[in-house]
Amino acid sequence: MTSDVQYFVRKITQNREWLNYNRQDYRPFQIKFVLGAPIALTVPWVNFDGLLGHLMLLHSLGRDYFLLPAKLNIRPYLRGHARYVPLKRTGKVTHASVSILEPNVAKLTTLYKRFEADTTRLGRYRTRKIRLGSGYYRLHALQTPYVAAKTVTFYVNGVFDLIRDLIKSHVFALGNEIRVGFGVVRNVEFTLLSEDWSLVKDGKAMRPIPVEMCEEYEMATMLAYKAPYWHPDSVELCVPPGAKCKLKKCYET
Amino acid sequence: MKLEVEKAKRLFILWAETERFEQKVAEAKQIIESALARYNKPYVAFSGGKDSTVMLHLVLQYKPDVMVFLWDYGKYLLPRKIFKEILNIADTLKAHNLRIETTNAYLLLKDKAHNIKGSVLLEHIIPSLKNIEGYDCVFVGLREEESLKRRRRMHAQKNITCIPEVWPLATWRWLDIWAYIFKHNLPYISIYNLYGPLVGWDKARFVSFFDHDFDHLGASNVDSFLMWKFKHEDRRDNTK
Repeated sequence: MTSDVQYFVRKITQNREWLNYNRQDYRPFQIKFVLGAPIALTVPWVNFDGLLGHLMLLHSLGRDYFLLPAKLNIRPYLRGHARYVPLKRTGKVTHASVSILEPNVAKLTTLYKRFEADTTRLGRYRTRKIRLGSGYYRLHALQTPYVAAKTVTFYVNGVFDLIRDLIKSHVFALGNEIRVGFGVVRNVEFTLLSEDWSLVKDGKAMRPIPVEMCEEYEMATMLAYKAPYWHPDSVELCVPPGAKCKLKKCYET
Repeated sequence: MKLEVEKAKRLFILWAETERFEQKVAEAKQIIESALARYNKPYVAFSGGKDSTVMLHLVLQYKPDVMVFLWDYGKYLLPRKIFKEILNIADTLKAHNLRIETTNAYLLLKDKAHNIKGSVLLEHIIPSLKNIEGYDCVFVGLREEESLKRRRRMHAQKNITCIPEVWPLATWRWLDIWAYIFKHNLPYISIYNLYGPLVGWDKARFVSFFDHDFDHLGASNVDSFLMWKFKHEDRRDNTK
């Protein structure tokens, strides 16, 4: 184990009291984020389990979270609850729906990344002419899709208190481009539910569900079904959110 | 989304009634007629996009047996569902002499296939079309409006291959293209209905998706937002 991994694993495991829970603590509930600004997205939804994993690491590591090397996988070195998000699991998936945006009408805007001479260390090149049309100091105009949603709802089955505390203490915005003010969260409402709608609601998939877990399904496409959602190994033939599907009896809750 | 498409459609049909539009169509027809009179064995370069669909429809009115050349970017860069739509368009327009060419490099290199079109199509296949099969002209649906680079190339009458190019739609605007499509009720690939309302009907373009060679023509953010169904299509082979 490298010293980097040792450092982060020690930091995560030394403060584990907040992670103590049992399977009996899982409860279905709804989380409703009331937004104060449009939410910018790179895929049409936000995955809640990915968000929760991010919050757990942020909570454990504090500011060190931002020092984590991008390609360092510390998960194999973690033990017990620290390895998993506090969500119920069925088959291959966690009980967390994708975001339900209301209203859900996509728009497009352009963000500009500008080179600023005053804040950049140019060293000995300071006096030279700088090319802004291409190369390292290129100016970018990034097309960014956004949804002017008023609320974002997730259906979750997990450890209610733990998830509520994590969200209340760390989530101030949702989605992409939050540094420029997109997806600002004004209020969060938590509601306990009697039914679990985190996988299927009214016969429709609420998250990407691998087809091997389904008895019947309307359509299937290659999608990431688990975090990290950007990783190619997470991709499998899945029923996309919103498509009709029926889980196999062994996976029904 | 459907409502926005219908709204745009009504606007384009109105534009199709204008005199300026009629002039553009007449001009394009004249270019095609003179090219057919001048060259013996022309063919049409067809990509499946809106411009080449319009051009194919115009050329087929004069020469129904013209060879229609379609370059297949392979399943990793062009999802098969979209490719089937392209074939359906050619079929609906009654392009019976359709010729599809591709290369195994797309299957071997998958989404890392760079500049394959240049090295295989432009350097080998098109010269053989001229030297072996005797094609002497190609109809290409380029428009001056698309980019400064294209405008300069067209003004300089510069061909990128050894076969002389004819550009019947050179002076057409995006509005003319959509007006022609909706006026004649031509089929077009469904992704325009996704991109049109979001990025604008003037900027909606069809190029092979997730292909780094065409990154400069689009935005990966927008592609992954709208084309999420196809983003991981290349992983389908690995699924048991």
